[in-house]
Amino acid sequence: MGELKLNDKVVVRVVDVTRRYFMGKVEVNALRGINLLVARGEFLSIMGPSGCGKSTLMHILGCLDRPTSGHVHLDEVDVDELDDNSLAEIRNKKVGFVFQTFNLLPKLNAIENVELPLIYAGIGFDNRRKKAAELLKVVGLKERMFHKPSELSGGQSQRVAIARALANDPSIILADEPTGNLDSKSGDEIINLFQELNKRGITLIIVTHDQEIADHSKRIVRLRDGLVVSDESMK
Amino acid sequence: MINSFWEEIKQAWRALFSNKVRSFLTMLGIVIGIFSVITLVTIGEGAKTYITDQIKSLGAGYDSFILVAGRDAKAPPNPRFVYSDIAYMKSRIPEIRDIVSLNPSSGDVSYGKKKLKAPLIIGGTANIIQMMGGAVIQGRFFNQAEVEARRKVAVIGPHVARDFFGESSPLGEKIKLRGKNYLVIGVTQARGSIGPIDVDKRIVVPITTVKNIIGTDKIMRFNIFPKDVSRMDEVQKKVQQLMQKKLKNDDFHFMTQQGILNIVNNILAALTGFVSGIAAISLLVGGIGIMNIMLVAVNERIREIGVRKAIGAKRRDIVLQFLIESMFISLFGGLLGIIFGLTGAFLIMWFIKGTLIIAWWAVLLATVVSAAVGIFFGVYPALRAASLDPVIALRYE
Repeated sequence: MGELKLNDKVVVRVVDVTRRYFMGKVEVNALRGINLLVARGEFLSIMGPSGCGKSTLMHILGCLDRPTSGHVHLDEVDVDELDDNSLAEIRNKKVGFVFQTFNLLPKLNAIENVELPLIYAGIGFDNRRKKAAELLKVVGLKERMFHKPSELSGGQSQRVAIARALANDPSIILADEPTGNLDSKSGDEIINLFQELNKRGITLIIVTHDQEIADHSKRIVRLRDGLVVSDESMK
Repeated sequence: MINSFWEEIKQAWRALFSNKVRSFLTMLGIVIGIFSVITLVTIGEGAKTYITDQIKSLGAGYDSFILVAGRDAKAPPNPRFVYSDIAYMKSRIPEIRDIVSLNPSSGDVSYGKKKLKAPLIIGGTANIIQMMGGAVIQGRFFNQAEVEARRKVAVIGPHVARDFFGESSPLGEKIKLRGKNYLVIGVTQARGSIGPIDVDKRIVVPITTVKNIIGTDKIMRFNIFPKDVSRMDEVQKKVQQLMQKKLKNDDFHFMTQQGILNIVNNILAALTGFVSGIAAISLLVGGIGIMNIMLVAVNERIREIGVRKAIGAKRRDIVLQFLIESMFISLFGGLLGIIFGLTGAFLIMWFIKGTLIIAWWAVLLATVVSAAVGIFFGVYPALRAASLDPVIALRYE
């Protein structure tokens, strides 16, 4: 378990979580009893070899998937009890996803991509355009607001994706191999941006197998075969 | 909700135009279905008006009915009516304001060496001019006394006057109808043609003088004008009883404007039903095409659906997105069909010199139906999209 100070506020609480599914006829025990606490403002890396269950854990943390057993609390909300629509709302308001392949919608330009979560949150055009423009400024893409993803570099696309993840001021940002598709320079820039955001108090959870990236975070949780095998705080 | 709805519409619009060729091909079934119905209905409305006008020009206006020889419209006419029946009916049925009669015929007409091949020759009563709606611009029309006296006088159409007499006055000249001399006493106003009939190339003579032209002095029909239009049926019944008694048979029938219009409407309804059937098949096929292309679209955008779900799209948002898109394809197809249909109808009407009458109810119905087709056939693909598991959708390559 992480070393949490008493006055730290817990934003993610994972208790005895298992996840079992079938690949064809083969039963896969992806998670076999995970316990994890994440405090507000943490910068956490989840590491492990492929097949260790880190992606499954990320999906459960991001409310895209439900555990087979165990409990997940996100920002004081007991996620287990929620129906699909409520989960969608949690994903919209409390979670920001950053993917390895950016996953921007190709027909929308940068600012429209950032606006998307705000649209689903029901925010009117003027307010959401203002918010999206602000966020693009934060990630350093003020000049590229009206460019389509096809007109942006990988690093720029990932920044748009980060701005999109920040749109509804989520409780956590979940990033799955965010530098996996980037050259090392762009990758470094993204890591710097994450550190910058973390300094502003944003809680970050990064799934990666890249030790160098994990070294920039404040805490590393290692998984193997669906179990937490180590949990160390840096510095 | 309202906000996201507008966004969905905007994005559906974009999706439609980013795949122009595919969208258009998908629409074709709807376009053809709506096109055929709109064309037919519009032409039908035009035809109805055209036929109503025709009927009016024949004298069966709203204020009269026609007594016709023959048991029904299909029976071979064996007319037993005579000119004196007019006075007979008028004297016995005081509710009758007026009776007009005409016997149309045709035959060669000559003036000196000039000859006119087969113009329309009408034997009429003196009051026929009011009913035909043409004024006399030169000379006068014949009167009742001349009809009674079987005077061989003729009122000619402007084309007859021009062909025979050129610029000089035809009044007082004698023309030959089937070998009998007729004195020209008037020229009617130009009216143009009604359908294929050149109304200006006709000759009107007293109905009592046409025996040698049509071979009988029996009369085919009477146009009967009651004093009170609202009591038309009553007058018709009285005429029926009276003529039954007089002729000792009922070898005659009645025609009213409404009756003729009913026949026309029945024919149009049958035709509309037939084309609607074809259109329904076309819409069904078009709808299945839309469903098919929407399933393809869902498959192409599994990843996008995953992303949308990950950033907070609810089931409803995804359903709405795809429903609006399929509705757009169909609605747009419907609008194209309406435009093509109206253009087609306009061209046909222009070609046959009819009036274009747009049936707005049909346009509205076509719009609603095409939108409904899109929604109906979009439901299944939309539900499929919405039920995708976000984790699997996000992994989809």
